[in-house]
Amino acid sequence: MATSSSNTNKADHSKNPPLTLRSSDGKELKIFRIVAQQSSTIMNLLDLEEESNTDVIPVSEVDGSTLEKLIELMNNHTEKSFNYLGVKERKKFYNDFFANWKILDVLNFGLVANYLGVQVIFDEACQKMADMIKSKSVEWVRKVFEIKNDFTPEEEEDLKKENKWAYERGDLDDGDDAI
Amino acid sequence: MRGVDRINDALPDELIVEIFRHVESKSGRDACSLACKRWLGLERVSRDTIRIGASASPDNLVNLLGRRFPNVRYMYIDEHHSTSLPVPCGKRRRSSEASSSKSRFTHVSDRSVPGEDGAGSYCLTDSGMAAVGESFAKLEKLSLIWCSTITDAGLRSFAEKCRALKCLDLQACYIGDRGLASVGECCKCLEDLNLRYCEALSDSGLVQLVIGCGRALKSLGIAACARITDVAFEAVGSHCKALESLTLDSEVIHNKGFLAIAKGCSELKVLKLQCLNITDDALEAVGVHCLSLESLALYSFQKFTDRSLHAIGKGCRKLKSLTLSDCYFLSNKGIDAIASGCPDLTHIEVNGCHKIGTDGLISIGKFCTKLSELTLLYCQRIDRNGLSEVGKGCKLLQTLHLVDCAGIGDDSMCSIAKGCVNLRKLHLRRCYGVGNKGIVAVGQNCKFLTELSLRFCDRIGDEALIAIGRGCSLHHLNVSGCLLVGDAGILAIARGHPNLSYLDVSVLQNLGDNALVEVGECCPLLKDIVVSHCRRITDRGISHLSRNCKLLESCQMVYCPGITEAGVATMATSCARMKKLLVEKWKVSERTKRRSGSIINYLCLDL
Repeated sequence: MATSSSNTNKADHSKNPPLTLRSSDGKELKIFRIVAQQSSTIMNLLDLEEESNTDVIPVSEVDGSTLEKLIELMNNHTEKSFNYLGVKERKKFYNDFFANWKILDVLNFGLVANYLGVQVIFDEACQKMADMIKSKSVEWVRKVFEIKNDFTPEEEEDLKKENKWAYERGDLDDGDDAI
Repeated sequence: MRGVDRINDALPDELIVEIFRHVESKSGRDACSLACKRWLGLERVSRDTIRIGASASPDNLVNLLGRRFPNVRYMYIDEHHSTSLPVPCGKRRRSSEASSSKSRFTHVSDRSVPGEDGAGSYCLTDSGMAAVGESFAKLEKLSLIWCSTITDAGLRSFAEKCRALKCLDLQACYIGDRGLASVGECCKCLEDLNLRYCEALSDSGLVQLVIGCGRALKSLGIAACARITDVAFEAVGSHCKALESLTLDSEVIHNKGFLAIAKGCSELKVLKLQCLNITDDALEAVGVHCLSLESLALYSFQKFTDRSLHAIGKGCRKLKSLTLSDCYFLSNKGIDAIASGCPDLTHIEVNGCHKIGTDGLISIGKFCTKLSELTLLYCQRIDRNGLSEVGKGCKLLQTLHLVDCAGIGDDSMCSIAKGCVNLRKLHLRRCYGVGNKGIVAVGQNCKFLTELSLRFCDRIGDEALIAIGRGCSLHHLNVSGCLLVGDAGILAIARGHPNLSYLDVSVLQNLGDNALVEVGECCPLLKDIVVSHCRRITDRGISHLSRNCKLLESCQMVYCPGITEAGVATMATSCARMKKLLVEKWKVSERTKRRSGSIINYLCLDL
């Protein structure tokens, strides 16, 4: 299967001790500075606290389990092998990461990534949600996001009619058969 | 985050818009916009792409869309495709893009003449084009395909309003030189221009365009525009100094025009040529002047000889990708010159070049140590051992694609297997020289293999698949036409590959239900399956499959005499995610049609 090489960055980190983040529910999680650089929020918080590494950084908006998953993903991003992944492989990597997640968990994760300023992960969470919404109906979308339908039936009908203005490109077959 | 009562209320606008940005399909976007008024507003403001086909009154449509979606940046108008609205003149245009220009002319003469106000017009008119300019001032990309009633005046009124245009794509339109010239005058940010089948364009239009905005142009594509000659290309060479990508399909360009481009556009990175009347002199100039070249593709019976490849190998040291298709005169010596000169090559494709054979592959193996993807199509001159050097030298090879290379044998395959340990994808088709031995070696050595395709390699059988089953973890397997493969092989695959997502076992005469049952048991992630032409598969296998593989999205099962109406019904209804089911029409009962009609595709016998 895909490589899960040992973290070759570990040797470098011995010089810089890891930071500690404390979640809203009191969980303390370690994160290496070089990994934490992906989060603009954490970097800002560090600036405020000057050079002291011994204090714990409170991340009061985020619960422990979500924070742990986020740190795991951020660790993956810093591994050398990750940078060699092609576009398809990156897509597959994130698909695997989010496999079997419920959309609300993805949403939660995305909000946390947004709060912590980790743009790449925020993008991927939004992409995942978009993929999940893609083939679904309006009713499904309303149910999952708990949206109250404030259209009248007539308004909704009119909108649906209006939406029929363009052709839908059918799924193109993989062109392998031409050879 | 802490739990929220009403998720929607807690979501900031930016997050919702960001999700929309990733929803690329129109149907997805439409569904989002109908959720509630807030989402409707946000979606409309954030929609950036519009695609219009031929419709009943396109001018009115453009006005409507302009009111709804003010921030559109990419607009595609393709009147080649008819929408679901009826086309009263009775002609349904075919959606095949391969239609020749001859058929295009007959359609044009049948079309109704557009009225002033757009009523009765099925094609976008000049006033519609002006409306596009009025409504979508932020437009960055415009693509017009088969828009036969737009003239120079229309394009001018558009260009005057959309001065931020970056990308223009015109195919099979009647826009002439004045239209193109106005783009040159108004759209100074143009980076990307693509012209295909624009028979009304001559040198004058392109010359004026590049004089006006050639400085910013990065990418240029010209195909089948019979009146654009060397004169225009000389102008390109003079004015498009920033050009990075050039795609040319032209019988009218000669060395004179091309030399001007080679000398003038020294930043060129991507070059794709299908030009019958250019010779070695032209590519030699590329080898001298275009030292940043990264990708070169030569198609269809051109006159280039090894001299060209020598020149490229000498000068274009940054070359990463090489495609040679039907290049009759190129031989192993040329390949040697490029391979030895260009150490950064990662992608090589050779298609139907009959003078390139084993020796060329030996050079590739010797010099192209960074090779990642190798595609060899119709290369009959590669012998049994021909890929051995590639196996020894190309340690980074990830994708190997071999079609109709009947000479390649097990020795080559074993060498590849042992040497290319990073192999991810292996596609063989009609490579009759490869048998079990070679594939067993792949199974034993290529731990990272995720895609394997062995179509019509009829010497490969169960023994090979058993080794594959043990050794790697596939997502994609295609053994269509491997007549020796039976239950034992597929059982081994099922047991060894729980991540299998795509399986094609069509044309296998010896395959029975037991194999399908096992696939059902072991491969819960299966999304696509093809069992067409499998004589021994019955409803039993199908029903096991459909009961257990809940993620199935497509299934093809035509020419399976053992599958009945009942099997079809089961498959159609058991899998909630099924999107495409290909069967014979007479196997679909009324009830199944009612319940699942939208996903069923019928085998069409009148093709």
